[in-house]
Amino acid sequence: MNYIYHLIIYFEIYAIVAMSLNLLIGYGGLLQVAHAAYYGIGAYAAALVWTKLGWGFFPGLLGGAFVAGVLSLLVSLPAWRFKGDYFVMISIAVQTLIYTVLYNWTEVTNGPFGISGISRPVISNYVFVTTGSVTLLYGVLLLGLGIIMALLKWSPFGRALQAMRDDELAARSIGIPVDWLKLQAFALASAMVGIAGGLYAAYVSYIDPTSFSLNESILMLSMVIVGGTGNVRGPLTGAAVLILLPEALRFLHLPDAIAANVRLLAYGLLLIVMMHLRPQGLAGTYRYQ
Amino acid sequence: MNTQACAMMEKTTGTPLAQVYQASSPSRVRLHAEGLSIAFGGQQVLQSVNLDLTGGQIALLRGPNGCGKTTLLNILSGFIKPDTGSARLEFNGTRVNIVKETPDRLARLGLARLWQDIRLFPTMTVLENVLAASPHAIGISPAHALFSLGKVKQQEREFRAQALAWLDMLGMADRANSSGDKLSVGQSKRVAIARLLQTGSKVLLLDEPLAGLDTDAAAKLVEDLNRLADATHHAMLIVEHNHDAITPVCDLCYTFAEGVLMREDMGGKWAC
Repeated sequence: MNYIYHLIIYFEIYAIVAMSLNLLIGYGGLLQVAHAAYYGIGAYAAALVWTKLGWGFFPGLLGGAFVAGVLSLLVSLPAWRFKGDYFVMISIAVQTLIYTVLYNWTEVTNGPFGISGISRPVISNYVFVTTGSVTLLYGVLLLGLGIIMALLKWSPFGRALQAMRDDELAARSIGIPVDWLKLQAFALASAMVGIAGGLYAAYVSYIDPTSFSLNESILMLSMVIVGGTGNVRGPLTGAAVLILLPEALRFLHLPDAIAANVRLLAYGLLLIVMMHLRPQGLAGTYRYQ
Repeated sequence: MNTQACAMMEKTTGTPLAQVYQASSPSRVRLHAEGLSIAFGGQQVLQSVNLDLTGGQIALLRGPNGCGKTTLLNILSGFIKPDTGSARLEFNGTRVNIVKETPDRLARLGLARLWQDIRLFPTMTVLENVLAASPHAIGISPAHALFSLGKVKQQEREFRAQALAWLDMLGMADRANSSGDKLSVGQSKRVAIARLLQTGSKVLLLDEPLAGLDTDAAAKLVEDLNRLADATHHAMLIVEHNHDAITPVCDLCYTFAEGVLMREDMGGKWAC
């Protein structure tokens, strides 16, 4: 049963990640490839708040969200000027930059050794020590964030993002403040993935930079593309598929040496098949171009 | 307004129709440009261009291809900056230096443009296309969208009523729920004009609104634009090659000749 709970927890964390990335890609048309870096910033900031300051669970999560939200300026400001492929290159550069900082700023992040001894969530003296209780807690948080995303999608904010995605020039010409909108979208998405990072840190109790590399960003991107963009159910579907896919491969009993390669092969194959057969994703309503 | 549109608007918005056209009440507006010049790669495109347009006037901007008509619209709508010269918008007692403003701020301040290639949002419905242009929407801030739901909903109802009124005025109310990419060229242009009107702008820059329209559709659109200028005192600067269709309703004509803009009054209702 613990194994099932473990999978559900990972799904819940990655569902939040995919929903936040969908805000940028699906609603705003901003192809962000530095999402794992902000996931890492949230994880590290929350872990430091918990281990160094001794603050509670929610202040740690909010601290992670705040730091990730503020540092989103690293990608949102260039997004004013760079578009399409050029912006993708910028976001890869930001991903590499943040990863390098996490790896080398040893005084704060403990470098490649990471931060250990992160405690499980504690709320009003109740310790969420069992995987079942963590599943429930993260499920409630996922639901809350899902409602927020749905409210944003159906608000004038969501409509303005959609207009910007469809035609930035036309959006500007009818009075939509595109630059300000980009700042807000990146800040919100980064804060949200920062929360997911905090949840990840609290669950695994140990973090190091390898969990927040470019490969992780590509996995997050795959979730959104495979699941589909432009609505709330697409990212949830993508997160479920890409969490369950490697687990399904376990049943093939492949030797460890080739299992990882087969997994990457399966991801690649899945992306190619999706691009050909269903470019809008399994449950998406918008085809990213 | 037809009965079906009235019923739909009152049912969906709850707003009395008398209030719907409030935003279109007459107001003083003026677009004034002086000495605008710009060169691209050493080639002089505009040379000391002067232009003046007030509320209720329709002006035709004409000239051969490549003479600088769209460049002038790009400058006046804030998309490019001139090398020299000034342009200002006077609206409701405020004076705006166009040269220093961004296009989105200009649209919010009272000046918006129609693109030659229309540029509707293809993944939105017709109504959503128009709603997207609603000015000063408080729900465009995520914080308000989440924590001021009541106010946002109330404002959305008002925007919806206004959007439907513009669509009705342009004969597109019955296509309000059609997708933005499922319209003919003529219908798309009407929706794009409704979207401009929704911004609350009083100066409209229209780049070839009749291009691609057959004779009947062009005549109908010209009639609607004339009615709009009459009823709401919008100022319109229209780039158009179909002179025969547009000239009868124009008050002014600006003609480009070798980079220089010449003005000629057409003897219209508000001729200077």
